[in-house]
Amino acid sequence: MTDPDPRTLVRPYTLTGGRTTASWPPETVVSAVDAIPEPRRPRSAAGTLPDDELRRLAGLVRGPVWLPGDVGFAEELASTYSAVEHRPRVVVGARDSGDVAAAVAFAVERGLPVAVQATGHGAVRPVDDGVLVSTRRMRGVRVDPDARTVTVGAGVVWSEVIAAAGPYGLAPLCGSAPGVGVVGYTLGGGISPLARTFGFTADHVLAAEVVTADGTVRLVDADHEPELFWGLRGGKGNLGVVTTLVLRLFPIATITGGGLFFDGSRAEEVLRAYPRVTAGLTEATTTSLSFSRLGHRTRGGTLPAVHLRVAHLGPGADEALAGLRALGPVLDTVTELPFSAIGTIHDDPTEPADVFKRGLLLADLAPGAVEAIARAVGPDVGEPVASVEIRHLGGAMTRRPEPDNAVGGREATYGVFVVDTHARADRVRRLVEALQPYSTGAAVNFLGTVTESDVVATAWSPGDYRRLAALKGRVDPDEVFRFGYAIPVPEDDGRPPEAAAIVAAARPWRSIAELAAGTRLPLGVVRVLVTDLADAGLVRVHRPGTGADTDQLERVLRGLRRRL
Amino acid sequence: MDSAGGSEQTVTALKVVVAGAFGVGKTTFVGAASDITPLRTEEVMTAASVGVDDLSATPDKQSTTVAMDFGRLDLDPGDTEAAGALPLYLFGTPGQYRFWFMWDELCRGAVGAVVLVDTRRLVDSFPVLDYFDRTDLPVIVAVNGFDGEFPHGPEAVREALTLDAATPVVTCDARDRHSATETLAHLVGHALTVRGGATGREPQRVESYRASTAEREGVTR
Repeated sequence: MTDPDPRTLVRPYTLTGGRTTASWPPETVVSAVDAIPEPRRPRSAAGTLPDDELRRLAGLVRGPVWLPGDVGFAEELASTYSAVEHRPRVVVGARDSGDVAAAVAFAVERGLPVAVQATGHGAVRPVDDGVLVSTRRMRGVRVDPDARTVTVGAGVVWSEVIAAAGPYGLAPLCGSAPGVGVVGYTLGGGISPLARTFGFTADHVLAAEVVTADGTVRLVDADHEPELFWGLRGGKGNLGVVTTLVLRLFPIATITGGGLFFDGSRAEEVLRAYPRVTAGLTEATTTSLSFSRLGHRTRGGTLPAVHLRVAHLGPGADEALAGLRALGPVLDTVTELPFSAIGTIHDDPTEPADVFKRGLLLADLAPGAVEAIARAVGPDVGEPVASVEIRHLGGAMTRRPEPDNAVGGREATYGVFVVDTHARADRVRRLVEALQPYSTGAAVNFLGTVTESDVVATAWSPGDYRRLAALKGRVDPDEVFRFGYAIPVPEDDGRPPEAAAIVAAARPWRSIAELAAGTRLPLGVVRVLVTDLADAGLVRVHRPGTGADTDQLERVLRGLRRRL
Repeated sequence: MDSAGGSEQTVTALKVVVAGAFGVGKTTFVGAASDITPLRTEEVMTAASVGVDDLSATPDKQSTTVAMDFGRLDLDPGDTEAAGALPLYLFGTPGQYRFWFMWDELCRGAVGAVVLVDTRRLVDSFPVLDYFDRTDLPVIVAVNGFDGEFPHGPEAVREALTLDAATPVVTCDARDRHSATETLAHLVGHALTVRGGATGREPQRVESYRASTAEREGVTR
């Protein structure tokens, strides 16, 4: 198309409904106003249901059923990882998908919400209502060595799949911690120690069995209910209870893996080198860098506090890892490992811990982001944040699978995950806030201690979020599955979904130019949406400074000179 | 206040325009000085003055997009009292001179403009300098030394570009963070001098040559 004559061009959106929008320049800063009303939450009828009524569930399922106070109630809820204390009205220890379907139908008939737990690794907030379906008894693992697939039940953990596939010379795209449950991990995308080589674990899901909010057991794959199949892979637990997954296995017997450990005094130096040393890595190498105030667990010995984890697949490991080793670690455990030892690479803690966690994704480790992390972990910091983990992403993760799925964050090059105690949650928040300007969103499995739906929304691109929310509206209109990282069924507020994306992005603040770049909308459209949002009190618009104000100029000059 | 909600914070955003001919290193300069990876935003222009809804209904309508690259510096002026965030945005001007009207909007409220020039192609800079002659925006000319070489001194450049004595000419390496930051500090220092009021710029310059060149290049405004 040839460009039209510029003298006849006008911006098409300066008028909306006869109203002129404010002519904010592109540097105008917009910040989300915090008191965003939580989306509509259906009221639960649980409070009015007598225990006798709840106990009738026991006659409908094969597995055990507990009410609060029953022997075994607390034990069933105690999770492998989380110290979150759930208080549902009733717990079902489901034995098969029939039990899950019966429990969901029972709940829906009585207006109760449904929560799901396998290992509890993904517990975000206490489940304080409704029916909790515990899937830990659904432990079926079936390897098909010819098709190179594995079929797993909802309660299976990665170590069981590793053990079942290993004798055939096959391996799953498991997480860094083998004790984590397969299903919850995979529905959130799944960033394996081999992620740069093979992509997200969810990209290798071939089929799923899922119980939807209507109590129906559905088998979905590329040809059956393709939209649901799209959304399950990446949509976390929003669309139903996944009872079985079929996953691709890979012919991997050994990997080169381990850790490069550095003394805590070198934290800042290693951090500053990390963008450079990772930039040269091919997709055969996946690394992460962890800073821990408490020191790292290893297989015995003293524990330096900076841990660069390495996983490399295939030949040429020595050449590939030369740049990392040139950093001069005090301890180098990288060696050829049987795949079954993959959990030793990260050596993640496995004890339940009551911690505050937050994570986000970065397009790049820009200088400002490195500064922010250095301020949190550097050797001169009085009390550094307990744990900061940076994962190098990209590679095969940037490529969409066929058929496509709802996994977000493909454009990110690094992921940052910050952990500390609840008492020190402010330190975590401060670092996350400082990194926010560089963030492209979050990985849903690494969102951390988050319940606000507009923060949860950052785990997907605005387009995918809109598609997921619409799908949720079709398959779970009453929000039966409303725990965890719940996507609310959209209420029609007359605003386009891009408006919600702008509110989500404007934290703590962003300029109109950045909002336009982030949402890929033209500047003029963003101005219109920001005008609407400001009128509705959902964002605040900060009047930009002016070059005519000498006080402001002097501040800018001071700020620039401090960098020279 | 540990975790101030974004809405509580005062934010004073300022901007600098980074202008220059095509290929002179504007995006490189923005990227070198910026704390964020440079971003791109687009403005859509259409050939008729109608509401946004009408645009989607008439897909054959002539329209075009104008792209701008920009970056951000999160400045810390070292204030003794908390005076809020101070982001400085750097906007690279759209390359096509046909969209001068975009420049007008971009320059409104700006601290000033860095005009990057390449001594191998000085003539390319004429239309850009002509544009700023017509504004009262503080401007400095930064000679981008490709490969770190400056074959011509600032005074020779000043003469070739017929710049008045009040317009600073500096050299810089657009790839280098320190050099790009220094250039910005030069501009702000110059802006303070100009805005301080005492020294208004003297419009004593030879307009005719550049103007006629601009016309030869087919530049209209």
